[in-house]
Amino acid sequence: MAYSLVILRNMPVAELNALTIKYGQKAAVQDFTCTIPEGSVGLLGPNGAGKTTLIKALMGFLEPAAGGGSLLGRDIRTQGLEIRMHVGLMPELECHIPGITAVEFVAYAGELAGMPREHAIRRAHEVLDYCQLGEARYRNLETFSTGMKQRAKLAQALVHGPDLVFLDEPTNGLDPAGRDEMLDLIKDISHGKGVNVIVSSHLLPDIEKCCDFVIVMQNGRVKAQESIRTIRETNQQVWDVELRDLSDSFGRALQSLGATVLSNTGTHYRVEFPNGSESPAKAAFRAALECSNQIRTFAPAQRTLEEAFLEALE
Amino acid sequence: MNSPIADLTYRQYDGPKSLPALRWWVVARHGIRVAMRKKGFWVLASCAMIPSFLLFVFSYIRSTIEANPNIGRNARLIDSLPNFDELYAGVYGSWYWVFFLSLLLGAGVIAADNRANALQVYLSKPITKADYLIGKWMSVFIPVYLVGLAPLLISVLYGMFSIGVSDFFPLYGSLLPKTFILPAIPAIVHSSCLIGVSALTKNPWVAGVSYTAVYVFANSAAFILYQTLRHGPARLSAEAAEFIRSLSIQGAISGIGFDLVGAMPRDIAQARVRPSVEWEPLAIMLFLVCVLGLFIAYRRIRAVEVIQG
Repeated sequence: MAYSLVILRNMPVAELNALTIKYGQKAAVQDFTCTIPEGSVGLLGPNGAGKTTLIKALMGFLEPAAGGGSLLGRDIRTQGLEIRMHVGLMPELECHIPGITAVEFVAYAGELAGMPREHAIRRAHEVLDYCQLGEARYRNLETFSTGMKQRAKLAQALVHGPDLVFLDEPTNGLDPAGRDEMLDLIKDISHGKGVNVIVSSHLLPDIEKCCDFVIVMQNGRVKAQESIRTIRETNQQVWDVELRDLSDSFGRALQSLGATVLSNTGTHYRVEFPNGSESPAKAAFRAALECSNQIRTFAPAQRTLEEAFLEALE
Repeated sequence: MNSPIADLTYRQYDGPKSLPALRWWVVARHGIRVAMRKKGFWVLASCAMIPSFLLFVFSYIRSTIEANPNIGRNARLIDSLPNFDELYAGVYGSWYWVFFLSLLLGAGVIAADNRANALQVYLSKPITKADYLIGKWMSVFIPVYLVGLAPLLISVLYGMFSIGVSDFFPLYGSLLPKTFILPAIPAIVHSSCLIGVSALTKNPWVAGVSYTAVYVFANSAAFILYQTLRHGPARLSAEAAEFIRSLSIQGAISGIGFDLVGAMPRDIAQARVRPSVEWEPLAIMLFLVCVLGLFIAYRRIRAVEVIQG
């Protein structure tokens, strides 16, 4: 009896192959090849890097000058309508449909996406609840604050239950509390709710907080694409050490063992151990013993996303 | 008692969802719904009924005089009063309410969306530029058509019942089907022109004022030309001069309509009947104007600003 083995694995959300988008003669996205995995992905890059242009091309708003690709298994050149049935967009710019309340706006967005009217209205209430727009949903959108408008924009992007949501600079114009709430919402949607999210931002902390994978862009090209965890990892020889007490001699003891102290703040040390001879842990504990101190933390060092980002751009 | 149980976490939508064939209808229905919420819509729709009331009055006066046994003495008076089809043409020719209503509904139809960046919301959904354009056009056309239709339909029904069905149909029976065609002429023209003008700006006021300026200027220019050529040294024939008078948006709308009705509104004071004009060249002119308006709108509708160069 023959059995077939089915291996379930993550399908990529998008696969782009040498994609080039031009405005006239100027290429805003050039020779862009990458695979965007499922989950929460950050598009990171300075202003003018081509993030928004890339999103517009993936939505089918812009015709590629060369190359191509697929989004959710559909061709971005020819299947724009089908793609937009399964995708939600929260644009960067302030946008709404004038003269209607938030609940009408979101329900109308649902109808435009092909939902029957009754379903669209019920679903609009659900997503507005989720986006924490309580009674304000019955007010005209023109009277909303920036934070409320951002929430309404997110709600209209989610109303039809998309498989993928593009969030273009979602924290624009938000105060710190509003920003944290928006990032919490994004993290919640993209983890365990069956929605893939692509967040475009030039703000590193935003990407770091809500994304698992990052694509760094500069001048319309991919500079790096890694999971956040991988991108933050340093080589195996750099470790963070925390002592129980302040010590003047710990650094010297480490140096006598061939290690280099990269930074030291109070009881925290970042140390690079030499390859070969002795394991980093043994060396660190021996140095602590020599200066009669105790080690409280010993862990591989991690870079900040900012360090990784700057390194990628260099 | 604690609060009721409600799941406020995010859940994926698993209800029906389709790519509807009539996607433009969603846009049109929304536009009509928003239009009918405006007080101005109901005020202008009510005002549009005024000409039909005038028709009732004149028809009543005429029928009362005709029923008088001393009709011979009143023959000249009867001749000076317009017939039913002339009154009907007068109702059709009362363009201002339909024009103002078109301005109210059409000036902001795309301009307001431009200002609010709503095109990104529309076009990020599974609808095409054509769906959006047709939907927006219909959201102006349908209310304007219905408001134009109401007074004409009421007038015909009044005529049918006041003159008597057996007398009405031999004389004016063709007016009944024409009643459903006539209001479409100004509705099509105003919707198409306004949608083009509206797509050019982000300000509904600018769109409204611009269209009014073009409309008034064209009407005035045609009228001045008519006066000059008809009564000046050139002394153009009445038919030729009337054609020149029709070479404006409103002139062409009226000219085609009057030709279709087969009667012109009569100037009561002078008891003078305006000559009719050939409708074909006017229809071609209006068609080109409409195509231009729709072409401009189609070119301007886009989800992204496309920078050339």
